[in-house]
Amino acid sequence: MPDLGQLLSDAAPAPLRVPQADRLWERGRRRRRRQQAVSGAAGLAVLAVLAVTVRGLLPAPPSVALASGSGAAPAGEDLHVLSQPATPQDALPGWLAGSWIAAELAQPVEARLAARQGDTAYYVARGPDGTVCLVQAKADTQTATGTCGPVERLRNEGVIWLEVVNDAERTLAGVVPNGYALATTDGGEFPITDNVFVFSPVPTIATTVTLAGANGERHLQIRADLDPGESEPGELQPGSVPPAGGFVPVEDDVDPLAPDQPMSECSALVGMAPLEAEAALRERGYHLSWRYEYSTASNTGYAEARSSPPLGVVTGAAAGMDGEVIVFVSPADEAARPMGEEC
Amino acid sequence: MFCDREYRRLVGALGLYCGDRDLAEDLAQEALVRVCQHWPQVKEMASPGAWAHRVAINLANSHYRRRALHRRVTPLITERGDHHDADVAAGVDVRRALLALRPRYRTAVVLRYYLGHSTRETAGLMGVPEGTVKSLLHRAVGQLRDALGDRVLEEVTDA
Repeated sequence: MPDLGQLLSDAAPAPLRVPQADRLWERGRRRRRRQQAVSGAAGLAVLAVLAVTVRGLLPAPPSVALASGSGAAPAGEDLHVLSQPATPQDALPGWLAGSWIAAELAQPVEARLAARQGDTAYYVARGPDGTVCLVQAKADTQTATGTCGPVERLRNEGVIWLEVVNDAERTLAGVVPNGYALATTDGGEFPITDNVFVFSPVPTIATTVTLAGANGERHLQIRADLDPGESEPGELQPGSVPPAGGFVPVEDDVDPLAPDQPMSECSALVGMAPLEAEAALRERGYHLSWRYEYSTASNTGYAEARSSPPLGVVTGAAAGMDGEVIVFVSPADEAARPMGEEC
Repeated sequence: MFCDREYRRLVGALGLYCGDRDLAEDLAQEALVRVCQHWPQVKEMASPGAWAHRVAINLANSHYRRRALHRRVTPLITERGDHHDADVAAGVDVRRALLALRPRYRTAVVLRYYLGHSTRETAGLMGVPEGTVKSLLHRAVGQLRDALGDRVLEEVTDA
């Protein structure tokens, strides 16, 4: 029985042309020299002069209207944006209350407007269990999405990303800790004044973002842009609750519903309503994470992570990184499956 | 040596990803030029090959974005069966099944199962959390199983 790696190796095309290493190296070397020449001191001086001269003639980059303060706020304290007194403009739009991301936020909702780009507003809000959420609200279409992550991720990774991709554009935003005032990529410089930066459109060649401010410099890897044309409004990562004692972990890298696994008795999970599955799995001590999958208008699919069971039908399960069970859910009309037996 | 070693792997990976060997060879060469261009930095990396893989996939995506032909070209290539040297039925079926996957799924499968990166490495290359890669692979392998029928696929586990 072949494994997948072997099947792919057998199916992969072999090159017809022989790589000419010398020519490749020479081309690379020439580009490097050009690059060095441009980035040399003289080049920089010329570019600086040109930039000053031409700046007034060029259209301004997408403006991100930001209040100010987080760049100067002490690191280690609560996020500056959330420590500010609420103002009327911080109130989430009424229509947003019905969105899935609104259900992810801690109640009562504590949110602050952090950035605005045209009709799109970005709010920082507190999520459940001490997580921080970034909410994108598009007033023109009255659609909202977002992401939540633990504060520890801010400290350890320096950012909580929110990526939104649709047919027209790709937006990348991030919440960053206090002490950073500027986010720089190959595509330009973007101010950070309320713990949030927004790139839209995302610089296509940039692979890193450099944060700079009173907190020093920090380099962030931009997630690779690997889904061309795919209409996925972001890979949403609500803050997962760290595994606490008392839950039953599932083994990594196995199908948790396989016959020889402890969860095999739950094979009838497929077809259940998520609330029903949640009750059955929690009763058995499993820690859960949800993935909601559905088709978009262009039938390209969509997957989003949620911390609470969405409406729909359970279509499968997988082992998560921290011993949790990832439960896949599709809308009922996309996954009309018979109800399973009791787990 | 690095170029010689990686070229074949890049062509294979890009061929599986794009479904077009000629394009795969062009993109593989461009990826290696980028490697040479940035060699002073790349050689210091823990895995220069992984960097090349990431560049290659990004180049493929940039190519399709520029051309905006992804969804139109892929089915044609699938029908045509461009890989004459490996035109055994099994290979054609596997490539066809792979090309039917969404790009994101296909990326995860190629990085993980063809290029042999661990789940953690694949997550790093894709810039997504490891759990997301697991989810993508789970769904992708499920779809490949559905497409390939009786040829049951074993999932590779991390060492």
